[in-house]
Amino acid sequence: MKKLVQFNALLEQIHNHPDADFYRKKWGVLYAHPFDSFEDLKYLSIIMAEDFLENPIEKRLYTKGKSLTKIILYGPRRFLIKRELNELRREQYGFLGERPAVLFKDNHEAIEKSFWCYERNALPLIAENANDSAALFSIERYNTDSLFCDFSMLKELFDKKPDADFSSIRHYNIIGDYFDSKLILKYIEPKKLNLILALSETGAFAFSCPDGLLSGKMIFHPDRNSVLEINGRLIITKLLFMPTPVIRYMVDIFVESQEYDCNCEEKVSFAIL
Amino acid sequence: MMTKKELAKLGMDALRDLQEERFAKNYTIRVTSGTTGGSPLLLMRRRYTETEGGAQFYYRGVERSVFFFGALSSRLSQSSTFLFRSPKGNHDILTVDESDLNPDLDILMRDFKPDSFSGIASFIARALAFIQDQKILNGIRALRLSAEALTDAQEKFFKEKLPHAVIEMGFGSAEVGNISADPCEFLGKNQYHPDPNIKFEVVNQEDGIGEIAVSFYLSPSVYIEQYLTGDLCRFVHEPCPCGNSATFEFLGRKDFDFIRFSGATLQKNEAERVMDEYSNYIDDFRIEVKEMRIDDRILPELNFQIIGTKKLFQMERPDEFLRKEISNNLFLTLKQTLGMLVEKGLFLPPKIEFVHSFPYSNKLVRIKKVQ
Ligand SMILES: [Zn+2]
Ligand SMILES: [Zn+2]
Repeated sequence: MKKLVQFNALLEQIHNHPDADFYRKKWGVLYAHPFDSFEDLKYLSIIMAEDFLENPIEKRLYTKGKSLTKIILYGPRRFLIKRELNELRREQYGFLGERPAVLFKDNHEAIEKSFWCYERNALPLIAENANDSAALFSIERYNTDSLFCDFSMLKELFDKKPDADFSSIRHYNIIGDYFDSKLILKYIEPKKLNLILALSETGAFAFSCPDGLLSGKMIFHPDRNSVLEINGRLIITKLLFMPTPVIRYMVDIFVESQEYDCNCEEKVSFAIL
Repeated sequence: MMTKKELAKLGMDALRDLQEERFAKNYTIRVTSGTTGGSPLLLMRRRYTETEGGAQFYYRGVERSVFFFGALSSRLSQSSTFLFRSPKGNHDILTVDESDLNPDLDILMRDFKPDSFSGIASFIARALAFIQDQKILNGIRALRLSAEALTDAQEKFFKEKLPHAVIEMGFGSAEVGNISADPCEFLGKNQYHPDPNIKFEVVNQEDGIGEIAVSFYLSPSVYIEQYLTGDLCRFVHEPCPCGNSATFEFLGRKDFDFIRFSGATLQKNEAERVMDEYSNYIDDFRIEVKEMRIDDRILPELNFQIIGTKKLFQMERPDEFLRKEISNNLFLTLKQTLGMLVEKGLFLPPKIEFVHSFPYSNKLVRIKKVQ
């Protein structure tokens, strides 16, 4: 219910925005009435990465504010996405301790996650992704208690030092759209683990069910900022401005709805195919 | 004097100040990789607040800045200072790394519409090769450089490429942060006033040139005393019209830009000047200085690695040609060229070696001393 209220407010502002016409153009005559349920999403046309590629960022910006801009690689091409700091704070990137370390293959992701830590009042260590030993050194030296990383960097870290003493790390937040659960569970206790489904252009949209991880299953729930259409190819709607809103964004992730009985508040469950 | 090792021990001490202050945005972490010698270092420190020196430099007069720094921790620290310290609501940053240097950069810049560039001169110069749109280049009003001494050739290049940009230089180091105050319009190239928050000294002086030693608070309870940054400078004695009485001129990194050995000095600037004169023959170069022990004498030897042009290799003896020309032109003391020092038996004759390329590194290191 709360999500629907948020979404209707977003829709109204998109409809009334004086400059940005990205969605007005895409949707034609906008379905401007407040939605009664997320069933109505089907009236809005789907967007894809090509739409971001084809539209300059000024047509896609629905709010202004202090922001950081990221370069997103899509196939062989690139486009820009902005993240407003005020809204970035609301992203669900996982459990933050007092001494977070950030380690991503993509530098723009590393910078964004570091700003997220700052916005949540924690001092981030940004680890050098091109230098394994410097990364290891700094993560250990910082006495890191929460790690934010993508799967490929985590793998490199453990390949480099399988006996790495990360006893200080209480939360491993692995962020991205690909995880090898077998490998991850080989190194990390499930209770310390948090898998976050996210893309560079959307931010986070789902998280792994802790009950699922304990029984060795990768079950995901949509996070509180996201509405997901789970039926084959995933369609993501974010309730944040971003400041380019992400509404019915179809991505290359294939998912299947799951009946899963767990202790989580969120009752929608799905698995990645 | 505090060594890097001693500094490293204090790396995490600022944590207790952060725990007391409870405002993470006032702190940064610097990590040095240890690739240019020494072991890696992690250093947590408090940023200057708006009222302290060296802070306004970051956002004054500009709103959309692109940050070109090699190390991720420098990129984060510089760009976050820009965003956190800027007073207005719509400031925006884009950080750029090696993998972003490709033809798409032109299109992306057109989209981002930067009004300023900030970073390391050699990195920005390389990025500019990918930015063709004159409208973007004309839109750059400020070029903020740090970490390297700016050469004449670089300055000329930037002035041509970015006709509307004011070049502002800051001086600092990865582990210390800011060492210079906000840029002063009256100062020449590579000249700075020391940051008023730092006690600035020049030690181990020889012929007016010495090493920079800084003392400062890493955070309210952590004091760093006389840390040698590894940079060389000389004091400028004329008073500055702005009223500041302390001015120093940054000469380069000790043993990287500026190598002192056996009574002579090899300067990167001087080497670049000579190589520039022979740019028809030389595309790029590196120089290694070795001190050889022969019997009980120490004889220095310069080893030139050269990427030659077609024209050079059309000559019968390209190595002989370069050995002669470089020896006669490269000054290693105020009055003596390499050739004169060789003739007097004080130096070994230089070695010339032809190569096809140089290994890539974040910082452009053209001259160095090897053991
Ligand atoms: Zn669950
Ligand atoms: Zn002055």
